[in-house]
Amino acid sequence: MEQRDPQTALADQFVVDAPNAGLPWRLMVFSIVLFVFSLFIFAGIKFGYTSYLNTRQDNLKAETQALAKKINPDDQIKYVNFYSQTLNLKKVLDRHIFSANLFNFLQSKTAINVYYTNATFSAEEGHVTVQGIAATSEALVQQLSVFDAAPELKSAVLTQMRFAEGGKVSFEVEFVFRDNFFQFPAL
Amino acid sequence: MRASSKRVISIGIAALFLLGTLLVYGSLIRPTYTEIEKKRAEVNAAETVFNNQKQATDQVTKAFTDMKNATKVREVISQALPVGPAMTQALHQVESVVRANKVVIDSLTIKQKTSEPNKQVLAKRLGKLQLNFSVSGSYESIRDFLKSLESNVRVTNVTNFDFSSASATGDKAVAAGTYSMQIVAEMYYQEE
Repeated sequence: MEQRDPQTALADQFVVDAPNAGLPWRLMVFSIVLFVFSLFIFAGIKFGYTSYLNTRQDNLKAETQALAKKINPDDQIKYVNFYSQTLNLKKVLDRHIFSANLFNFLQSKTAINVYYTNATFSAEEGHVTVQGIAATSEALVQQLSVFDAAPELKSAVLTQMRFAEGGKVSFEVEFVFRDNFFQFPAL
Repeated sequence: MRASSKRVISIGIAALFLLGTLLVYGSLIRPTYTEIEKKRAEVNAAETVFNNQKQATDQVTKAFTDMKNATKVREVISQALPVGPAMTQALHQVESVVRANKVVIDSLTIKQKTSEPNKQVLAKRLGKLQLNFSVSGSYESIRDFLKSLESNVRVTNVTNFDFSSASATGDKAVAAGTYSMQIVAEMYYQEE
């Protein structure tokens, strides 16, 4: 076994380990990497993503404008005309009435010995005035009771009555029809 | 150089880079990110506009095609409600109805009335023609004439009429069984 000098052996006892510089060095490398990474991120979003978004926005604007041009102006005018016609036709048909229904009504609701001399119709006021002659006052009463029972009427008001020669009675009746009476043509 | 000095220097450099990183984040990345957020919102809005526009364009194109294919419907609609007053057509229709029902037309005047505005933005105004005319004939003829007029292809609304027998008007010269009718009617058209 090798014999060591006692002084050297004693000095070995007091040798201190060389200071360990590993941690600060790694910290420095880590901070440099982090810094470079942050610069890379910045460059990426500034020059990569932003320019991508700008291009996308420009493309969308151009495509939207191209879409508007896709519609032919002539077709557009024709379509607006067609649309307006359809809309106006609906409006007109909604207010369309069949005043000729009055004839069917009078034909079916007139008693014997009664005839009419005049009839006026006003769509705006919504009423009809009929003048006629009844052979007798009984015939007129009978006629008025037929009107009273008519489901088509809201009201039938005798506005005038005059006795004429030979027991005849001239009369005037004002009718107010139910709302849907003039809406559909009578069969 | 002593090891402790090296350590201090490396710690100092690390701190500087970390500070630099924070500066890059705070003064470059964050403002750019905010800007990007704004830009993304703009792009999203532009995408929504584009998609809506595309959908609308597709629908309009389909509607155009449907309209072009519906030739008969368009013809019928144009007869019922022509574009422009089409007075000649109006006269022709009245005349056809008069002839078909064997009544005599005594007088006829046509005048344009004020057009009706439309509530819908795109829709054009509804024009009106007012027809004042007087016809005479048998009871059946006049009744059928009125029915035909109201069920005519071009929509006609009778607003007033006055129906009377010739004897009621005191016209003794007119043969018995003859009636006359004064009619006020409206025909419609669409403004051009």
